[in-house]
Amino acid sequence: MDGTVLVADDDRTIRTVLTQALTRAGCKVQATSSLTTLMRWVAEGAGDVVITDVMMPDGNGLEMLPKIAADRPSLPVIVISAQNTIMTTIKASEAGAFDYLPKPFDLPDLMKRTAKALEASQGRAGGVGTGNWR
Amino acid sequence: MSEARKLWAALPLPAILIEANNQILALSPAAEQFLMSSERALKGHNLFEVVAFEGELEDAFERARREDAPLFVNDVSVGRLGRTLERCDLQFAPYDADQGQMLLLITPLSQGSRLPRALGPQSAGRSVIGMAEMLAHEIKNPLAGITGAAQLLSMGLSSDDRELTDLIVAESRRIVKLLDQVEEFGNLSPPHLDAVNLHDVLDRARRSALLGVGADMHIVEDFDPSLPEALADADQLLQVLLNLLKNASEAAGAGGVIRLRTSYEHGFRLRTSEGLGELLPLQIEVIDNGPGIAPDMIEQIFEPFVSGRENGTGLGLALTAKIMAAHNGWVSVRSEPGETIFKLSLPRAPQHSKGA
Repeated sequence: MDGTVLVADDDRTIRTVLTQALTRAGCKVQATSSLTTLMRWVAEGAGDVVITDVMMPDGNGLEMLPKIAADRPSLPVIVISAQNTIMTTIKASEAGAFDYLPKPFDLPDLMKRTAKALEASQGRAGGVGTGNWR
Repeated sequence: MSEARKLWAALPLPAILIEANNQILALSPAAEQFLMSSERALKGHNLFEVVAFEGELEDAFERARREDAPLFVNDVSVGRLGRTLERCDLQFAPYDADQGQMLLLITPLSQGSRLPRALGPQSAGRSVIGMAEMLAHEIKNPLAGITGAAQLLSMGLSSDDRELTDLIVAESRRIVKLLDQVEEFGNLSPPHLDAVNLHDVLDRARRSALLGVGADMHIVEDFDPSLPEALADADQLLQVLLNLLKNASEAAGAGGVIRLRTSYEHGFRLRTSEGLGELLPLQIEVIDNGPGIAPDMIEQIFEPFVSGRENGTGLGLALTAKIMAAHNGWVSVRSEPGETIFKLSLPRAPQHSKGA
């Protein structure tokens, strides 16, 4: 896997695990606990894929999806959330998330989906994407 | 902690601070309890998207904000959207007029009767469940870290060592399963009440039990054939009955006898804090001949996480109580060695509904 993944989660353990896992897989990682920082990175053109939590201290990750889609339509966003309800899943897909995973996620599964998102982002999608992003 | 923060935490009433655009800025601990959600979970959300108010209060709130004057609303239903609402008095007062920030104070009208001892079994679990739901969310984050770290570690390990990291992952999943059950519990939808023939539901429950949980049991029916229709949600009632049948089967053991009895009791009604409750004349009893429930457990048997079984989650009977409460019905238990009776009491369907 190559490319840069932007990670936004206010839980330090999640940032650590994702940073380690993605770095070991060959990605570059920028991790933050703040949506504001994430949105700044997105605006600056950084990253090939975003992995974001929903409930953050400075806002709701799902509400950022339309903004990301408007700014960077080809930037896939994977949403991870401990709010494991059907509504969250529906909202995430309606908001244009590339993928949604409930916490605690299966790490190999998340890595597979991230790889798929990276392929999609870098224009190498082979039509196998599970996401319904635009 | 600053004095202001201390004061905020000490507020005995639910208080919510909101921004000019109605986004939630802060919840007092009492408001977290009242809404069964953490400040972290609700912060940034539009007040009207997460809290339900009876009537169109949004405009009235907006007027109060514009006129920079407090608004008092008495005796309205308020609560977390999609959950049970409570009768409350509201005060909506300007907090920082320049920024349009407002403070909402909620006074639940039943405050006086909400002392733990005054709670019936049906409502006792509510606050615990609210807390558990909040915890479920807070526990999943560290669990995600734990399983993720274990899975990362396992990559470079021998199969012997991997057995141990697999164990960490598997046991974490077990906790998640329990948490999901708790969340499901909190998200139970309100019943769709309709005229229901209880014997039809009992029949469905009995047949389903004989195929599964009660396969080795003798199930005996003792029905009052003249029983009128009940006002109930047939599917939720089926869930309750299956759960009671499962408990009865486990209590009585293979070859045990379960009796299903229905009867009509004129004048059966509950006494509530507001006086006499609705008439609940329709009775269903699930009776097993097991060893009975320990007296020290029977008091709390409808509380969540109270279980007499080694692997029980203790949520089955709590869910039963919750469903019955949503039906305005009642569940009670009587137990002695050789006879345990769970009794469901339900209201009658209005006679003119469903062309009867």
